[in-house]
Amino acid sequence: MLYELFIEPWTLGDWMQRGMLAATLASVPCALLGVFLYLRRLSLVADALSHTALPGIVVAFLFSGSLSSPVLLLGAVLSGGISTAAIEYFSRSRLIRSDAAIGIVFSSLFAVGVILLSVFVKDAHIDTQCMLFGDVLGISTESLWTLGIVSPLIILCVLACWRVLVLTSFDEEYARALGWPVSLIHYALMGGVAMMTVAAFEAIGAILAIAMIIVPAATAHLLSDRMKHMAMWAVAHALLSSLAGMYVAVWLDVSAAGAIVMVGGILYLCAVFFSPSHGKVTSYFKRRQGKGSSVTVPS
Amino acid sequence: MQSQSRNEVALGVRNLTLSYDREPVVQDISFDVPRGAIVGVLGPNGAGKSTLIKAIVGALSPDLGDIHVLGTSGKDALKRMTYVPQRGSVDWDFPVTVRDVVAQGCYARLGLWGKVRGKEAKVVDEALEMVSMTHLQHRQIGALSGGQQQRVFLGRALAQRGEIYLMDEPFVGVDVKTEEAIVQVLRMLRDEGRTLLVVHHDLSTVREYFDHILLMNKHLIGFGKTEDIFVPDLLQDAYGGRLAIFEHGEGTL
Repeated sequence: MLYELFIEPWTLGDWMQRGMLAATLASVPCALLGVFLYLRRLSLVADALSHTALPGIVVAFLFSGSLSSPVLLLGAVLSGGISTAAIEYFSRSRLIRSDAAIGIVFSSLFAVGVILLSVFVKDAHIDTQCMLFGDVLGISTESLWTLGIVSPLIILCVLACWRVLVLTSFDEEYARALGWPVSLIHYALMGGVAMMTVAAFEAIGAILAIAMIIVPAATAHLLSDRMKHMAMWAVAHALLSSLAGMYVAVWLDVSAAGAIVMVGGILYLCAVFFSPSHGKVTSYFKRRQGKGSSVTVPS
Repeated sequence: MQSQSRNEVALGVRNLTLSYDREPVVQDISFDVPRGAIVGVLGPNGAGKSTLIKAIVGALSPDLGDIHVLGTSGKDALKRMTYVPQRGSVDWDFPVTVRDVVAQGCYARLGLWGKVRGKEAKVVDEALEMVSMTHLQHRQIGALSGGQQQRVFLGRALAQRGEIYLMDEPFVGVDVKTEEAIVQVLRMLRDEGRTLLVVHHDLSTVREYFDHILLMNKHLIGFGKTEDIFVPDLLQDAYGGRLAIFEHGEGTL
């Protein structure tokens, strides 16, 4: 019984191994980037970037004629950069609010992508279903290679820029006063997110990449009081939901990406209710024990 | 500090101008702060006090203007300044501890990769001690009172050890004990020959805290010794119709 449930899927060909590899490679860097997007209150921007990548991908596809070429990544990073700059420009100009700026820029650029796709690439097999939702258990070797290169690269960059990412997320003005390149780091972070959503789109799709970016960070914030712990919890959440999600997908014969994100959502709910410091249920019991949930300490 | 170094200019600002969307916020402000001064930056809401401070420390880029610190300018000048932002400018739910934030003060010397240990760890210990936050150093910063949060920011500034300290509203929303502690630290820094600019709101404490005043409302209204600038005429220029409130309170000054 246990053997059938947990071991057997790994022995029926190599798709479980490949799927787990793809899910790990996709989810760990997404979780790390997500920690910083979440803390900068830019969760919505991840959504925007995964959509605005589309016109970049289509244009790059028109030039290269291939779907798994590094040119696609470049196209996505470029359109990510353009949309980040456009969002910044509109929000700074005070013509519109920043949330509206994000909505306008991403939907317009996504529409451009859809039109380009329908006009120029009608006969190409860009599968919109696959682009949005991915196919983690049927991932191609090219996509695995792309992920295998992009994902360690992103992880290394995040670790190398750790201090500047933390300080610019926490106190941007102080970082500027220290003379640190605050805007450059902002664009690098956005470029990383654009690159990651594209590298991951065959595995998890553009829509579900957003969940991979935000849900681990949101869960981890409930469980940790320090940056390092938050990053570790986010990665743990990403790995656990990938593994459990793949099992659920195999057992119930449902979409793997859907199952991964659903498990991630359930883990988030568990953190909301049972987090030792912030959980709804835990603080209820703390109150009942008369300890009080107030954390303010008189000096 | 003796009279000779008293006359030394610590911070020189020339024709500083800054605008948002062509709307001028700081207009053509010039002044020279002598070394060892504690300067209160006063003016009504929207007078551009915070913007002026941010432009001086390099957090905003001005349209026009020169800034000199003890004879240096540009990046060298920025390195000698320590900025204490408004407490409300950061997210206190951020997953960092008191010690983490104070240690950020060492980044000015350590750069992006240097480790906070040895001598630098000692600097952090001392800064925590000076703001009486040693016992709370491993606490997440959201679990602090307003006064404690302000002391964390002050601790970070002490760990940075600049020549010029620029503080944005350090007394807002803090308890009496913290206010006294901050004033003590300001005086200690002045006695070490450092220079301080402090954005301030509470006119009743101005004479007690500051030996110099910078009075502004978008443009400079007056800069000089407190007794020369903190006078009804100039204050009326700065605060306009709101002077009624001031005159009411003047009897107590």
